[in-house]
Amino acid sequence: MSKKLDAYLEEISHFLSGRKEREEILAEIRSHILEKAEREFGEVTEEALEKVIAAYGPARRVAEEYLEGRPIIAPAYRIDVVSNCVSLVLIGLLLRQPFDNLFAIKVPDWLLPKIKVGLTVLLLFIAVMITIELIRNLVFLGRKKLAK
Amino acid sequence: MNPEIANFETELNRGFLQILVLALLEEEMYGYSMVRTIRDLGYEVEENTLYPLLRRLEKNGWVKSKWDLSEDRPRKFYAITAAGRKLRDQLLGIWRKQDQILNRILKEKSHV
Repeated sequence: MSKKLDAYLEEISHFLSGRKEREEILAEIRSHILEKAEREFGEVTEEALEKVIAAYGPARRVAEEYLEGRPIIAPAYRIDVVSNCVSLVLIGLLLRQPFDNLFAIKVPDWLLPKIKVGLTVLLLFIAVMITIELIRNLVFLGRKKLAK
Repeated sequence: MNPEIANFETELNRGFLQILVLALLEEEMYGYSMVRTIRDLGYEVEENTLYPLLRRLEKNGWVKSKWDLSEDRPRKFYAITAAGRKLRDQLLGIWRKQDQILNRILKEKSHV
């Protein structure tokens, strides 16, 4: 299939995240763009698709038309990447804390190490999830660059 | 175009486009053919306006759709429903009345 069309649809999909009829909307747009490319340019080539996609409009605006005035919650990938990095740095800083004075109440000595291990595991888990998200966003940004 | 007029045009078009789509869909059509037909009638509709509109009409039960998978490229066909016909006739009634009123005023003014 076409890299450009896939990248375009994926971007629209990102802005429509959380909508249950998302797949249906994307199928409609895909069908329309392929049809138009073939009818107006003779055959479906990457150049034809590029022109048809450009005429269809920026992904964010396309998604907005479906949201009937509701604002788009999903931020752009670039902002996602920045916020992922900031979160990772913050978690890194937290992990360097000894946690000894973290609790306002006196914790029994035998319990403290267990809580510390639990907290560290939790923070590491969150860090792994954010890293996965970050890689996903970076892959998407890279694919979008390649498609251009 | 003058941006102020463009705003008025957008407002006028919103209602018009709904009537237009409901009138067109008396015959089953798919999205691309609707865009072309409307263009051939001398009117422009953005694809990105038409599809969300069709979705809203369908959600309210005025239009129904089905995918035709018999060709190598799947196409989604739309058609008006009984409720849609009722709505279309009511909207046409409103539009005709508005048109009559405007025409009467314009005629009276031209006599002055």
